[in-house]
Amino acid sequence: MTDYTELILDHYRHPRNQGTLSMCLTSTVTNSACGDSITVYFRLKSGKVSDFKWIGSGCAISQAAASILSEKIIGKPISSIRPLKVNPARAACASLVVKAILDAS
Amino acid sequence: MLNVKKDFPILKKNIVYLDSAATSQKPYQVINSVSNYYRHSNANIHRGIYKLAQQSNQLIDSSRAKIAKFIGADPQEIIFVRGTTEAVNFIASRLSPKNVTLSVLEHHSNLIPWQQSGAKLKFIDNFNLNHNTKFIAITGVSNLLGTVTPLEKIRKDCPKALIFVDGAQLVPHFPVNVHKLGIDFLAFSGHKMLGPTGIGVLFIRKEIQKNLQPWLFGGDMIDTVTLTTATWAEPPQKFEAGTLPLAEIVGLGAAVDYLNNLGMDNVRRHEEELTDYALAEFKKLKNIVTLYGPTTHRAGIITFNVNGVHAHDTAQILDEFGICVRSGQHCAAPAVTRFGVPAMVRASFYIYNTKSDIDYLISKIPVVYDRLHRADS
Repeated sequence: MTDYTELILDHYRHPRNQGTLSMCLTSTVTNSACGDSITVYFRLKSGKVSDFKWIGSGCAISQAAASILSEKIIGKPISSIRPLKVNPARAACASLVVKAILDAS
Repeated sequence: MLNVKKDFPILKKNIVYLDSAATSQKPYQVINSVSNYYRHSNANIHRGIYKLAQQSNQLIDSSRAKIAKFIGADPQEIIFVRGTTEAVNFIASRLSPKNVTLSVLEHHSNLIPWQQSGAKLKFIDNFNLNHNTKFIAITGVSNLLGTVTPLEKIRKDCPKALIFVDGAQLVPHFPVNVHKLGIDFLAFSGHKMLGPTGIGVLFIRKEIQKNLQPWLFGGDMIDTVTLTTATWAEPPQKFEAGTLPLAEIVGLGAAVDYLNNLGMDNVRRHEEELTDYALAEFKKLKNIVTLYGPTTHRAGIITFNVNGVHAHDTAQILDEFGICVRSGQHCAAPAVTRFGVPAMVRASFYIYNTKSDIDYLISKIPVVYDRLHRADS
């Protein structure tokens, strides 16, 4: 099974919700083994995510995972966030954005 | 060109294996020697009077002698260790030189033990070594770029220096003679030269062994023991506490037989031809590929990136076609960083690789580019 589905390739080529926010929760995490980096910016209202932006650089999986998550996260509590399911060899890439969110909150 | 793929059962799977710098595949001859050892000869060495133990002893002695001859050393100069990493840790912690000169291309295993030893580290650029240099720890061949270190020149420039060579990528691929090179230590790993994992070799020049204290203490390495004191056995036993990985030593002996049978000059020639071919083919893709490292006189290691594609993505797409390459920093983070990229893809060759393996790899590079290239990445 390929990890490079149309969904992932589409999000990698056209990342959604990239940008920054001010006066918000934020954190940057990196994967030193491959140089991937994700910075998240978000606000919580009554325990749920009300605004979310991210920037980053790195492999297709880490960047697409952040983009895909950015479309699903609004209105949800942090505790409901799950990493994108991929090949075990790439789990660290897919969970980078989740790590950043947990790190900031 | 060599034609030995048939000896490697794992290569009957539908894969193109281009990761021999990480570990080599094993021929039947090695696999059978390990299994036959357990079937027919397994007994602990040194202490046994019975015939089976003597038979096992003989196998270990003969493996040690073969391995010694393979690198031009005496059998007593061959110390069995777990691998290159253990060998470096042994010498770095036991010898603790005040100053150590290294290259910037070192694998982490020939860098971190020296950092931890408390030594002051110096790094050579343009080989600015001199006759006052005291201790050099250097890779024989870079695992990242395939760069071949001019060891003869270093010996000449630094006549007084003790020279420790990380031979993990050298010994499996080049004819090596330690006494001709004039080096003092050479470490290498069995699993990168057709042998089993868990067995490595540390060559220590005879004259140095006398004053070098053991690293590990325990059974097998002693001469006399009282409740409060002990004296050491003669080398190599002095440096080999505990039961050795016997089957693995026999397997490494079989690997050396296999390589001798091919001839190390032929091994090198085969890899040189493959590498020259691969470099020429990669150059045809220069619009979509960036190559790193020397363009001539390099070991069978090609390091590259597909432009605008992360190394991990390249490796994973290639895997979808059954091509095994490594991606990341190759345990040489400081060297990768110097190129200003986060990661690289590495294809590395051995005796079982063929030009058609390289053709197959080359044919899939444009596929990787088309699927994942993103202009801004």
